[in-house]
Amino acid sequence: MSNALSNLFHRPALLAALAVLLAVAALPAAALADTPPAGTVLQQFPAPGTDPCGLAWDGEALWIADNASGTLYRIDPADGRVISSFKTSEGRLSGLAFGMGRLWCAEAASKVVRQLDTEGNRLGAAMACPLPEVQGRQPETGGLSFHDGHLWTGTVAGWSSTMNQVDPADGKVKRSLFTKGYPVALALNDTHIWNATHNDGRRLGLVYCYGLDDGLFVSQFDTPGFWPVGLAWDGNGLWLADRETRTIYRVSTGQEVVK
Amino acid sequence: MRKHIFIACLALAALIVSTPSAQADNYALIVSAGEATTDDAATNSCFWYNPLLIYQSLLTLDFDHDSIVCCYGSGSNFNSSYACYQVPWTMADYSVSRANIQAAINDLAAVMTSSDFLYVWWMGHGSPSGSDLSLYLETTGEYCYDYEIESWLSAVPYQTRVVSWMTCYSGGILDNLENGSSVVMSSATFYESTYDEWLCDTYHAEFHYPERCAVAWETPCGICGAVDADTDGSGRVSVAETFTYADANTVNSDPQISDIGNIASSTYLGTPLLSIGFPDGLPDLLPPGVPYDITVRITEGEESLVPGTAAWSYRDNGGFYQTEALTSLGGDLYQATLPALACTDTPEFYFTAEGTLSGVIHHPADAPTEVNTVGIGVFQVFFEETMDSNPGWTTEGQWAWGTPTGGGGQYGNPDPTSGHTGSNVYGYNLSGDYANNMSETHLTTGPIDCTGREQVTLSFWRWLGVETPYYDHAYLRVSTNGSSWTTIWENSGETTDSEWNEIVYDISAIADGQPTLYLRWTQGTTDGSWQYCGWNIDDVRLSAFECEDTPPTDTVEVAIGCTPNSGQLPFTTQMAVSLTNLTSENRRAAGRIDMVIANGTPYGNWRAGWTNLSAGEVFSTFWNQNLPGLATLVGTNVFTLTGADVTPAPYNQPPFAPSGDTDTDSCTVTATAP
Repeated sequence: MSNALSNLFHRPALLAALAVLLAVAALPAAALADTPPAGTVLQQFPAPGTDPCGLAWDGEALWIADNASGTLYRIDPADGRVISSFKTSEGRLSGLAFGMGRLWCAEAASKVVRQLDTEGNRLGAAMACPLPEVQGRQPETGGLSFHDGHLWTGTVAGWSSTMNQVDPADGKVKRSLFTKGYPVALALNDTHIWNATHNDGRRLGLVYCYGLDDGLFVSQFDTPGFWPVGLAWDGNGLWLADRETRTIYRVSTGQEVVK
Repeated sequence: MRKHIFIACLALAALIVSTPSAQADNYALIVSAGEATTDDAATNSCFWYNPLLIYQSLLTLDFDHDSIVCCYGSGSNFNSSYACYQVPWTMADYSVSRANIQAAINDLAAVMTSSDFLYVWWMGHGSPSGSDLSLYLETTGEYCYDYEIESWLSAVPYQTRVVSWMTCYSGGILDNLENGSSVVMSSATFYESTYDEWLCDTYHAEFHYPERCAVAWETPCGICGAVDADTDGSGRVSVAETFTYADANTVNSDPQISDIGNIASSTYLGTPLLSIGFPDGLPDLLPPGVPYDITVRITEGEESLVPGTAAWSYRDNGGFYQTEALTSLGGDLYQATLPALACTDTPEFYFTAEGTLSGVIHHPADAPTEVNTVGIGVFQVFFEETMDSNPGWTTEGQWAWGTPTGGGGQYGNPDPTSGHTGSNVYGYNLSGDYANNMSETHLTTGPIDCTGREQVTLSFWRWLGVETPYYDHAYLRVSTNGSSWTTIWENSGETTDSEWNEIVYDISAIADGQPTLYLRWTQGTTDGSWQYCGWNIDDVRLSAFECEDTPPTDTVEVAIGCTPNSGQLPFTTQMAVSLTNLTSENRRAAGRIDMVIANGTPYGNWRAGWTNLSAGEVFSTFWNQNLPGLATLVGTNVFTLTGADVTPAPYNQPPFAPSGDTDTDSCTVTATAP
């Protein structure tokens, strides 16, 4: 036995790592091949209301808005059952997020983000959505997400469309990433950021995935409907809401580990 | 071998040969800083479609693969599912990165001289960085700045440079690249975003797309027809005309141009050679029975027109082309005259001129394979509702006929306060906005008889407010049975009319020849918020193509005389014909000999000449007609010589069939056989 190998076997952590590598290598090829392609619908149930918008994950359940009735719903991810709901006095929403124990709502007309508790009471002051000050055609608010202590907002502004990392304390933009398509819905995990876009009803919607560190495009998949309006990451997988089909989907990102 | 290696070799060759006064060449730099990953996707697909389109157009304009350096995405062609967005050659010389853009520019710097032309075309993301324009390179995540582009390009010599820049805030590039030898165009000001839109066949860069259409004289893939941005009728599209067309067709931003040297109107992509243009355009449709003058401009660029070679070739209803010289109008203008045509005529024509460098050029360029045509007829309105009285159409919900009140406009603009003409319209809620949570609600005409109608076209005047179809909907549909409907139009974005707009749709595929046609305007569905003023419509018309030959309105008088009117065969008689009272059409005079010889055998023969006569022209001529010394003739024979006015016919191809108002006159000649 060489000295190097001898040293290796005297280090339990390295041994454990090696064991994991060997175990992964020993996974049957069929199991890897069963990883569903990105965009595969793994689960679906109807969205409440007729004009669903936004999607957020609070650690246990999904939240979604219905712009038609001005209602926010908390949804059981197992079967889509409405756990609770409340009416809001906010205008039409373009995005919904959950973070710091509260709901964050992007309002399309006033272009502000409001904070609500889980019973619909306003918390704090409204925060202006970080939109570029431009002449001519005005930018619109897009999706909303919350990750790692930061709010992420979508700006829909043609080729200036961006996903923006915002300090929730003061509303200042810390980082902006250009998007493909319109960032009408956002979701993040520790390594990736996704934006969903419609294509004006010309084709199915698309979800684009980028590296969170560098913002570079990684992959994409078609959405089940033409008008995606919400994305949420539940810690293990991606959820998507579609306005046209009025349906909430759990979709594969193509990266799921087969268990 | 990659092109940039080839260009480096060219540079080396240039150093060795060192020819200081080489002829001016055309070079281009194309940078698409994004990358397409799928067809028909917003802010995605256009990053392949538009650089490819301009690249292909340059190839038709005296550029070639070796004179175009292209940076695109990660360097590989996008595999479009559309044949017309595929090419067998690799478009990109480089993937997009800061280093590669500099390398591409260095390639140009190595081969270009101060007598060359440079075209710089860029599309991608941009953002303001203080007073500078920051440019994002999507495939690497790098940025470069307008002052860096300025610095890099400063190494490239040129005589004339045209820059076309499409990014958000692209107006920021103007001050970096403008000078007296450059025209710099941007899609937006330094304070605007820029957009792609669904244009014609798919998503296109909103500024670069019309720019390319102007240069190419057509929309891509042969789908949406021809484009004529040649406003001065020179036959070529200058950079100024290109910008004017692109500016007029860019709705989401305000394109800018810097033309310090005032050279845009005399600068063209590609080497300006001889060109054929039409200051007044070419007709698409002409009424029957009326001649039409076409004004032709032959513009000399870096070559001259060979004198006497300006010509046009014409034929009708097939057959051989007749080629005639164009009539000079002085300067670079010429004229050709289409004769008065009948409904059944199918005129075809093309133009030619010979340049001292490029030889014979044609218009259309590939004539006579492709030629100019013109339809004979007119569009006649056969159905009209001006809304001055109630048409009594079927209404649902808040659809109503009456005077709009100018109400509504929670979003967008309020209703009008009157019709386009008169007071009344059909509108959805004449007093305000449409409601939230509507189902589809229709206004439907009664049956309209389109029997025998061809090329049926619908026009009406619209004042409409409706939210984006993401939320609210408005439709125009047609049906031939009142139960199954075809959608002609639906809102594709937010619509906020603030004035009456005329809308025209070709519905011939559905309506032509149908005994019943129904029109339907639909409001809804709508969502639960944001209300707009909805439909208001006025002056609804259906028209169809019709053609009816009109009889000549002139009263032609023909007189003929035969001198001498007797003699011994063979001999010559002079047949004099005159036509007067021509007032409205192009006519011809002809002569004919008919006789019955002594043994009773009819003998007919066309003779005589003919000529084109214009309205108002008095014609008088004569022919010396040889009367045949036929061996079969015996005794005394009577020849009847007839003069007639006839409609134009193919050259020297009797019979000249008279039409409409005609006149004839005859004289007889008595001829005695020897």
